[in-house]
Amino acid sequence: MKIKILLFFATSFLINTQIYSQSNNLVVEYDFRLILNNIKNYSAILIQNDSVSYFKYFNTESNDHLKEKNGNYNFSIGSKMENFIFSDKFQKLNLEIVKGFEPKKYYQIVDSLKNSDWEITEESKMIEGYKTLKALKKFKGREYLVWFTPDIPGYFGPLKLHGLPGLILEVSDSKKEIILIAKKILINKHFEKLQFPKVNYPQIRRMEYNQMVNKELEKLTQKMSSKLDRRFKVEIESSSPKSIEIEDQ
Amino acid sequence: MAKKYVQTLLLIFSFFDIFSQCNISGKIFDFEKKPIISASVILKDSSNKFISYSYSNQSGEFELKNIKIGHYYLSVSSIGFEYKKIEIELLEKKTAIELILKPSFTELKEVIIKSSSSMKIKSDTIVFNADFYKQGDEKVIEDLLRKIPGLVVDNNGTIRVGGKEVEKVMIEGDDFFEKGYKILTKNMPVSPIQNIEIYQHFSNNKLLKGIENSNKVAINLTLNDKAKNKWFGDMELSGGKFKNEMLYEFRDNLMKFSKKFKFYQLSNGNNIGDKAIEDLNKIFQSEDNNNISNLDDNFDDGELIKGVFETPNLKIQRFNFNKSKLFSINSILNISENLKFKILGFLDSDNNVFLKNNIDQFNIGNLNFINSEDFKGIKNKIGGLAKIDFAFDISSVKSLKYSGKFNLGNEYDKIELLFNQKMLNQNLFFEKKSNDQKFEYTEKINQNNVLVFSGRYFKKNTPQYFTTNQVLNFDLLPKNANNTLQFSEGEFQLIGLEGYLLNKSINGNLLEVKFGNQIQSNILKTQLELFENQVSLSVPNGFQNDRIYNLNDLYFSSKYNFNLNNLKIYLQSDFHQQFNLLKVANENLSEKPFFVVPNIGIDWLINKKNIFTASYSIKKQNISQNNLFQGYLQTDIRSLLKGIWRFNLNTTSNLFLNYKYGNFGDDILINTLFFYIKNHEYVGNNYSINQNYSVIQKGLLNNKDLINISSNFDYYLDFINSNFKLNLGLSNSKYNYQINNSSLLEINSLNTNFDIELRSGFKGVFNYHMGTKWVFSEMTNTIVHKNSYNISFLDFNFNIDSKLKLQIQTEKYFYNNVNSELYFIDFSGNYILKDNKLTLSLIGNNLLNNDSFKYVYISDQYNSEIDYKIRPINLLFKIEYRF
Repeated sequence: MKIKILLFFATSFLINTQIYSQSNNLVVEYDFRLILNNIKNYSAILIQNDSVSYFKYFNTESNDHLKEKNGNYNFSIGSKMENFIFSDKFQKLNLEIVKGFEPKKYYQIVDSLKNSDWEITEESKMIEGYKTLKALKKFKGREYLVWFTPDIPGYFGPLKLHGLPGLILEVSDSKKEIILIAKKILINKHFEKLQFPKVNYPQIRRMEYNQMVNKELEKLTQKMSSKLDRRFKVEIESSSPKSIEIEDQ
Repeated sequence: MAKKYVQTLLLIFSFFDIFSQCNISGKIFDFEKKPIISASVILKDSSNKFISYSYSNQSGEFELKNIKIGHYYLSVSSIGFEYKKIEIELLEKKTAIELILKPSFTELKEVIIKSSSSMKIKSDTIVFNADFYKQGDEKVIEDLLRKIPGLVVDNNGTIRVGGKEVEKVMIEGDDFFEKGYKILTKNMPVSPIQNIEIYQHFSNNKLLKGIENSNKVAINLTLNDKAKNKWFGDMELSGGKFKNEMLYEFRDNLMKFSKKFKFYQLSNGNNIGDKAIEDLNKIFQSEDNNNISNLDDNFDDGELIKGVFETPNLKIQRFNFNKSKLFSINSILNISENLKFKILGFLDSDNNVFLKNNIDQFNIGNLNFINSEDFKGIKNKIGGLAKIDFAFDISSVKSLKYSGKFNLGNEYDKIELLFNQKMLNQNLFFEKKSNDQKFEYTEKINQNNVLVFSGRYFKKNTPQYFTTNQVLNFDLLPKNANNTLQFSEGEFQLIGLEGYLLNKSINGNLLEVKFGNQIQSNILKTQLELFENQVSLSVPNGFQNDRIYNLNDLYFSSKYNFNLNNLKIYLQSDFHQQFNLLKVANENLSEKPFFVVPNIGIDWLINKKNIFTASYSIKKQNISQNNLFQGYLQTDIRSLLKGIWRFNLNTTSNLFLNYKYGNFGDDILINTLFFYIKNHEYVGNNYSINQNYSVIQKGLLNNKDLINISSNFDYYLDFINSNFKLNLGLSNSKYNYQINNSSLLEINSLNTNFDIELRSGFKGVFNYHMGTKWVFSEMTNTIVHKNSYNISFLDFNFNIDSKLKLQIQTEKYFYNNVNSELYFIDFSGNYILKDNKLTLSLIGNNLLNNDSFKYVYISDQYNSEIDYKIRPINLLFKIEYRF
């Protein structure tokens, strides 16, 4: 079964000219629950080959999701570019595309990819016939706990949790704000091209972006608290919205 | 999958390392000597413990550093190749390994992981963290819910999500009051709430979830850990004095919520005009289940004289002269995982005084007169309600529910009416006794089919005694009578059984089939006895009733829902075969009508921002039993009512359209509603009016129209940090009536309303909220008459610091027929002591000490000027303690 991926870009992109040879790929679909300021339920997908990975999470009802039709796996990256992480092992980069608050304004956040600091415990449990081990890591201000299986070699993980000697099937953090559970694994899925895109969006650092989000959310809170009935008394404090990555390291 | 394979190794030995730490490096190739990129390399010791790991680079090389000398296992794997595991004995500082992996069959392997984890992620749930939305001045849950995006709470406390009223407000998954949720939201304190969860596409019956197409919404509140399993609550005491009267309010809430046992006790005693909960009878209407919609409270239960006083268009605390007491205990017991038991109990008593005076002027044909009235009404009510529910999960696909409701109460209304200098007294005493039993058995036959079998028995008795001290020349009655006593007894019984089958097909289409039988029996006995100074004169003919009305409805309903992605269409037909009987002493009327009620609707999700809904139906309804009687009934000292004596199926056509734009949080939100109802036949009124009394004769008329359009618009104005709301509405109704033997007169009533509201969202000390509402009404009989009124308000809110807060509210009422405007000023100041446990408040209402509220209505046949007495200025000091 030959599978093609069609990547549609809403704005102009320069596609990276380095094309990696056809290799065997690993696709995992996760259920992703994010509890920051409210609970959001997403579907997430992690596609990786031996050098790059693509992680995206999206609202299950949106049109930007993976559709399988007649054996072809099509996914389109439309105008919704947020929640998108590319990782390249050999260039040692993570590229995240985030949306600004003005329409059609995007930024890219680039940080370096580190193999680091996983503590692999001896605790294990079985998930659908695979033996998984528990591993812990402090990353970007959170303490993650993952279950990975060495039976399936997958260097890349969801949310930049790379470097374990096996595929991550479950992720949670100590604050119970992030939960990912694998629902479907496709091993040996053939794609013709999985490329690390070269994008023209302005680069921004994670902390700068968080501050920008902060400001916009303050404005939004003011908006919302003013849409209320007269019998209700208001006091506005500045809100500090939370994000997945809390620190820069 | 593991394959043990021992391969010849090329080892390069190096010197012995004194620290006994080695490095292992190597290369991994495929059988064509091409490097394998990103293969995982794992080093484990003999006890299978992870020692080190790495991945091969672009050249197929890897390195594991700082390994102690010893015996290990090295495994290498890569997708598309066979897994390889070798034994290594590490003796040297550096060990280099070369490995060749054999390719494995490149077949696609798909693994589906069934969720067994306790972390279930639900897609129809939205959760809000309460702390994020709390701003410190909320007292009861209703105050907090007003702040949640997507929730709209109106002036009465009704909670809506996306225009649809919520079914229930649960606490930690358990629900006390169903549609009576206001008991909870208006009384329970907000401090223990952790999360507010909104469930969409909610099914009251959990076995129907995923099968029925439900647009229902429910709210669940979760508690923070400090509040779980502990007794907590609050107590409030307010006091004040006005002239010689002591004003007081006492409230308390006592709660404990744990998994197995939930308890909620509340009480309220006050004479400051507060109503802790709505009318007890109204709060427990049946759940609006699709499956027993024909067995719900959609019937008139025979209460002919309602003890309701006409009230002004003001908030209830302004005119409610009361002495109210309420005590309630409610408990939910989860006896086991499958058995739940709930018991609710309410006791309330209410004494109200109501005062108004009015001058009415009539110009009807040749009849012109003026009446002046001085009205004093005193109402005394006492009542109790008990409700018991059982829910038993027989298995994972079968469940049984039972609910029993018992209601007992009585009411005594005394009216002293100074009518044109004559003192008229009337007393109404009645008892209410009802019991309501329901059961529901649900079986989920398989993934796509569910059967629900339900039944109900309801019985209500409302004996009423109505006495008056005058007979106002009813031309039909003897002149020397000066006292009347009317005794009316209504007994209403209902029994019903229904089967309901749902079948959902693979493409999402849903077939619903219902069949059932409902029998209603209503006995009405009224007797009017005339007295002359306590001596019984007569029991006049024509003023007595003794009739039985039986309605037996056998019905079959089928509804098919087509699910076509963004468009949902439903087609429904209900078939009814009725056997109806109206019986008095020597006369019987019976009929056996058969009729069909069609209904069609669509739900179109144009895109994420635009939703359009429409429905059209032709409904048929029997004449209500409240209109079916032969003799006269005295409903008031100056009013008589005569009913209809015939059957008829009144047909109405109903068209409903709704358009929504935007989601909450967007800059613009629009919601437009249009409906048109045409009553092809309806029960109308034929009035006979003279100076002293009026008679309403019910009759069957044709063609009543109602059009209603309303539109809400929300827009956020960035430059002044304020939110702007606009509501527009238009309602036009056209119908006929007769008055004093005239021909059929037509009346057209057009009401338009226009309101604007502007609310600030400033940070810091000050905030404002202002608005104005205009209502224009045009009544057209022979001439067009216009009346209008305007209500405006301006509120200020000061948060002086974290402990001290002040609110000022001002209102202005203007009626175009009244010469002066009426202003109200209220304020409240709060001071928080002791870490939110103790709060002191000073509250002042009606600071301008208005003592009456005037209302004037003008039309060509009738003018009325009414003066309602309202509560004067009061000042209260309040202490609240939370534990």
